[in-house]
Amino acid sequence: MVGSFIPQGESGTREVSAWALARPTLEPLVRALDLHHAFTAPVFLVAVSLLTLSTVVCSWRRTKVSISRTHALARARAADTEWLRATHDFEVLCPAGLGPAEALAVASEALSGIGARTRHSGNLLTTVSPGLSVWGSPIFHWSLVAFMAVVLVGSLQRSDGLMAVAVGQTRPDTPASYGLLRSGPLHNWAGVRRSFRVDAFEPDYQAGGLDLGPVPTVSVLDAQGGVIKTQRVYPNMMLHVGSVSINAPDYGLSATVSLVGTGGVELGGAVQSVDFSQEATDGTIPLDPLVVYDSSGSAKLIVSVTVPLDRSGERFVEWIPRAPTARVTVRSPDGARIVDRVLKPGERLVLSNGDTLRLDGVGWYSRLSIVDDWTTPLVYGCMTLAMIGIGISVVFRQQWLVVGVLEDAGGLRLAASMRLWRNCPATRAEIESALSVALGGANIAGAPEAVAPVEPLAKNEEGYGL
Amino acid sequence: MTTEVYLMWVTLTFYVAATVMFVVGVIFSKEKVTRQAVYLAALGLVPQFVALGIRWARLGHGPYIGYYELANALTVCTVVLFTVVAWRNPRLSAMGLGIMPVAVLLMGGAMLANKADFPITPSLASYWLFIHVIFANVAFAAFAASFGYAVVYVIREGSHSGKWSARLAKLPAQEVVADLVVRFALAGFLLWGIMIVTGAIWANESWGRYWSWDPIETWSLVVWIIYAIFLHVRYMLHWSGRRLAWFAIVAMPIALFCLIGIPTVFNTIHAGYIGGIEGAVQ
Repeated sequence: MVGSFIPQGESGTREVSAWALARPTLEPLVRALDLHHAFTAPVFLVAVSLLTLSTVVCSWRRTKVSISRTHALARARAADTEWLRATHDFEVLCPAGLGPAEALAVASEALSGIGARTRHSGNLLTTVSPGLSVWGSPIFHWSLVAFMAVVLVGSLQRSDGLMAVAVGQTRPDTPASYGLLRSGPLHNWAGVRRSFRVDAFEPDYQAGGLDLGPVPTVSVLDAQGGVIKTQRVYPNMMLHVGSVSINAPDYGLSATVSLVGTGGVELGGAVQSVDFSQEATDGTIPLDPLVVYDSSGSAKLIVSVTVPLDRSGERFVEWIPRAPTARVTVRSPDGARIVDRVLKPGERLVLSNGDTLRLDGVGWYSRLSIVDDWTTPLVYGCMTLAMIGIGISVVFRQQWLVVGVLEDAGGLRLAASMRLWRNCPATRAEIESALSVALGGANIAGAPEAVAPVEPLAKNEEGYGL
Repeated sequence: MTTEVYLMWVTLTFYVAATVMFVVGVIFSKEKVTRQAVYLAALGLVPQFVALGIRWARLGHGPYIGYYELANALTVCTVVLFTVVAWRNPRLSAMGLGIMPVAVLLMGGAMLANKADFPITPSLASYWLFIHVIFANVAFAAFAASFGYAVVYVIREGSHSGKWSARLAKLPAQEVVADLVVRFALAGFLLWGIMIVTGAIWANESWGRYWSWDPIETWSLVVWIIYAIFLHVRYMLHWSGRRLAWFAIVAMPIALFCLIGIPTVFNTIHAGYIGGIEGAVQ
């Protein structure tokens, strides 16, 4: 809750800075507790750890209760008259002249009247919940424990990043390809042998009567460059390949440039991706500047490319310009501007060392959000299992009730043995009352004191129902 | 649009009348009036269903987007659940005293809200929308039912003079009402949990992550944990009676705030479903 009231993010962001300025007395405490990153702050992680620990303890206790109840249900299912004689909770004297069969019929009707439907099992009336009924709570709690464990494993091994890929460009799935990357310490980059390609970009894609906006077609390639899967990527239509899920949350423009040596030899090419920005001079800002290295590996030139946009009134039109160009700014490693020129596709710019930089073209790029996390299906599975667990707790009755007629020198007595744990249609008092009234208001007696209950209630046993 | 709004006003009138009749029926121990109030509430559903049907046919989507549609859907689920329960067990009719004011407040809020047409956006265009929203609505209805039972429980329990006990004499025994408070909370807990799970799956498909600590995600988890605490204090600490009923009374508004209040207070990626912050209130 604190995390939703305090802006989340780095200290430099606009929201966080504004909040901090407005609350100078509170900010030091918030910063000390790292509450601008509330969901990774130590205090939060400690709370989550304690919750996990208590869930484990709860799960264990519930499991023990469920085992005990399963045994109790099994015993009740196999009940006979002698068992009932030894374990009954109360008994009702049957009126004279009423036979055992009639007494049971009367009892059955009386129980049915308060919602406790029984069936004849030999010379007993029984209603015994299925064994599964008492396992809802342990299933739920152990699923939560598993869920927490899976989330922990997932956070250690997953990678989650944003990668700018221009149309026609192929980028390997390596940390260097990502602009922003969060990678767990156990993520195995060495084992990753794939790459991503944007085959096409439809800036105004329509499907099913909906304008889906800019939609790229993305391919995932294997180590040999073979296509594993290709599809259009848009909201609710992610590209899934194994543990990898690809979304396309943003887009921009790209300028492709080539470096040509003095002898006309192609030395290499690069793609500069640029984002739209109404505040920028040209309407775009480069994501990362291109760096030209010399033969020793030292940075020789820093090349920054932007794409000047068309204007509509005061605003830039965030689209490919009608006559695309690129502004190329070349700086020395110390930041001194060497060249600043606007190039048309095909035009060249001569660099200080005699090499030339050529603008090959301007196009679209798609910012792919790439998540590699094999635990996601397990997370779904744990959550689903947890829901099934609660569902069992909600739907199933957890009870057993055995009613029979005991016969001895004192006459006929209707005896009842029961455990009413959860979701029961009637309380013990209601059952006693219903049977007593049905049999003519005869005396109700408790079980013989000498006889110990077969399954003594565990401490707080009634409480383990959730 | 006009017919639809007229029908909604008719619905609100029915609900207000039903609420007044519940109050009158309970205060003056008029069982017949209380029963008629249930019929009136059920009658109010007819124009509401027609109005929502007209809107659905016109827009091509169900009542999922914008405060007006959302509040309507929550009201429908709450009133349907109440009338079905009251229909099946007439002794529980008096719980309308606790539930119908919630329905009236929701409908009143809906009628004051922006009734503009919010189209389905690409990120909302998924069958998960229906699944996610329906579970949210039904979960809220269960929480509202728990709230309604808790209200009548507290009223009856607090009746030192015995007047209210007599007025609510038709209700089942207090322990049965208390049990219903817990049962509906448990059902709501399950349905709310499914809402969170389906939302997480959908978020992963739509945004590429199943959990992002967005305010609505955070608060829906908070609500779920609050009801988990409710169930634990009931079953583990054996809370019962008025203390537990007050817990249910306090918990439900938090669930309501989570569903319709968060997008108007916090900056959330869920703002789209309520038509944006500026679209929430006219």
